[in-house]
Amino acid sequence: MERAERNRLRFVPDGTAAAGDVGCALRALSDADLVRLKTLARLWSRGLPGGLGWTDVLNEAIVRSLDGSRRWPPDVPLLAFLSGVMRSICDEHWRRARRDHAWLVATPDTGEAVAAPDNPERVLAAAQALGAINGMFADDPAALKILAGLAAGMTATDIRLHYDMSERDYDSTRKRMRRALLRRGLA
Amino acid sequence: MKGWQPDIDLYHLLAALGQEVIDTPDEDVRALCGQFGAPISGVARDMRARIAAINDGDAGRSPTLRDIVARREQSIRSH
Repeated sequence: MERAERNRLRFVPDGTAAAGDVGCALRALSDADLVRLKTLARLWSRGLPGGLGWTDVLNEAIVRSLDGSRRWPPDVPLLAFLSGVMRSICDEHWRRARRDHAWLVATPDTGEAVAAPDNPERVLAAAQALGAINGMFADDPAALKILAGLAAGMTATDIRLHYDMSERDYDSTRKRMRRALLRRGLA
Repeated sequence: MKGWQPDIDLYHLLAALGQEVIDTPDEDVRALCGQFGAPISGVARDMRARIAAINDGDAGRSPTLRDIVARREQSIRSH
């Protein structure tokens, strides 16, 4: 959102935007921002258990922003804020799925029942989602290296050093990745 | 692989890729939309309609994700 538009927003005493202004800001999103928002929703909802789709996640994020249960902080672009809300929604959903489907096992020492650390459904769904993302870049070995690094929580510098990539190669690969992500978001 | 937590890896990866999407320049977004036969105006119109449906007072009545999941699980069980 343009700075001038953002400056017209009213902020509540805790410094976050009033819920009504989130609605105004949503209406003021540019065409390109709306494409980005759709791409983000598709990205975050990829592989979610329970059959949830990107429209469910997007709708929930907008509802939470409008009803004030998620507050838009100052100095955070609206798209970044909404991406964070969607991330949080998906994280909650993953955790709920983990908890609802947790297996109880007896510990060998005490015989006490505890939740198993992993369950096959969660592992399978997340592994499938990772596989699907990797599959988008199956013909691009440099992109696969970057994906592996990002999944491991590495920074750009770490990835470049670890895989011996030049800054130029890293940047051009990232550009190809952005294009592929947006193309998928438009599908 | 022992102790592998793919959902944690997925979380890291999606956070990083999400930032890539946010950082994509407008001209690249427009060019890609044209290139892949998805006019940016069409995608934007669909998204505006979706947002307007929620924004125009239906927010309070929208089902929660928990409701949606419960309904879908019930639907699967009944088949």
